[in-house]
Amino acid sequence: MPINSAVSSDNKRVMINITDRFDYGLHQSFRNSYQMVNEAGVIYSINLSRATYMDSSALGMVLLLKEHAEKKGGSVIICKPHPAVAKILKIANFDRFVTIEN
Amino acid sequence: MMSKYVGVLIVGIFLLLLIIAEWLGFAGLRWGAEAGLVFGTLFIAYQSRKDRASIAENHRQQVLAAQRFKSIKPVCEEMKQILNHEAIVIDQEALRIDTIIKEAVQVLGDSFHNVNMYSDQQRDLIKELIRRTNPGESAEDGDHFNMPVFLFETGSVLDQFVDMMMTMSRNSLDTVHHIDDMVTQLDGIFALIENVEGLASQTNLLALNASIEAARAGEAGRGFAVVADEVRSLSISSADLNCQIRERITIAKDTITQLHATVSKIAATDVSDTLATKERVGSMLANVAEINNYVVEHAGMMNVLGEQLDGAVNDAIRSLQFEDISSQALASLHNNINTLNQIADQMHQIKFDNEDQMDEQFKNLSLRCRLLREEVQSRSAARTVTQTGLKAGGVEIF
Repeated sequence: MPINSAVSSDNKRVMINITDRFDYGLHQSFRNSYQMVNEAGVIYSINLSRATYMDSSALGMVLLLKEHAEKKGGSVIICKPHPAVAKILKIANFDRFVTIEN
Repeated sequence: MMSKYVGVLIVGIFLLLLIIAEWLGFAGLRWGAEAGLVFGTLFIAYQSRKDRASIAENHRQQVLAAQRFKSIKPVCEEMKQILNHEAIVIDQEALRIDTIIKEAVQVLGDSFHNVNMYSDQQRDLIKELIRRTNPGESAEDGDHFNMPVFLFETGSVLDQFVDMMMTMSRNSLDTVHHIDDMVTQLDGIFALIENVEGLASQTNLLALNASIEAARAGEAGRGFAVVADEVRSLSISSADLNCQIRERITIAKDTITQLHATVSKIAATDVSDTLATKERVGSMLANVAEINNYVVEHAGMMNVLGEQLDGAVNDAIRSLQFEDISSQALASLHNNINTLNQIADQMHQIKFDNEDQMDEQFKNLSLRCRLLREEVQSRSAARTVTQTGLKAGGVEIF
């Protein structure tokens, strides 16, 4: 699977790992990875170190995740974006919305 | 000549002496007087001869002198002619040069004036250019357009454009999610309809069984058979209704499926290439900014050059004062020409028919010439002091 997710034992952290292309094809499974988590203050970290491509709908997906997280007082972190992905994050000035950790 | 009168006087005295001697009767005195008379007569004769020889010599000398002056006369005439002629030529040439210089200086003055004017216009244009391109200059006066402001605005517009694209992606994805949720709900409704259909068919069977049991009961079950028929027809109506609901919901689901496909298409449209144009336009804007800086820098240099040009033109205009100096120099030529004419006149005034006064006349001529020379020399000395060059003159801009 190009996407898999894991919830930490204390239910406070959701790790979403995306490989290859992060595009519209993943929208359903990406949503599924967080839709059922309803605890407060959850931190969602998206690992994009092995995602070689990110399209504009993926940006929309992350924005929807951010809204979902903030509704419950949580936050979103993008971890180690691949250079190709980092480029589009930079064009979109995405660090205005989520924390990007290199 | 005097000696001739001396001889006559001697003769007269001795004649008087002879008369007195005759009257007194002094023989010695008479002889002495006679001897004196003879001596006087001889003296007169001698003197007369000597005078004649002198006159002849004088006459010869005068003839020779006249011949000599006659040969000088045409030389003087010729010199007078050439002096007059040269004076006229120099005068004409001086006038011509003066006119040429005046005209040329007029044209040059006009040209430099125009250069000055164009240079001013050019400097105004450059100032406007600097104002519109210099990041330090304000462009808040509305109708004027400033390049740095344009670059900043364009960058903002691009950022807005990228934000709008992202918002669109987010919204279309949100819509897709809601449609997905709705489809899930519709699938739930379909399951419920199936349950209702099952109930209707079971009710139908139950009513059929009731009818059979009513028929077996005979006359007593007749009323119950009527009820069973009613229940059966109700179950059939219920099944029909369910069927209609299923049809409607199926249509709704088809519509939603189409909606899902359409919104999905929008959500799936990858605009990241379009977003990447922001980066390209950004680098183009950086190039424009670089060109703008270049323009600003060089416009500043052109401004400095314009000021230097003004300075050079002003120097040139100042140099045009040579016209005054040359005019004065040419005017002083008139004095020299006058001198030449005066010498010619002096030569013309020599009278060659009066040989006795020739020496006197030449002496006068020489004196006049010397006075003229001294006058000319003192004038030249004065001029050399006053006109040393252009730099000594005052600055005058016209």
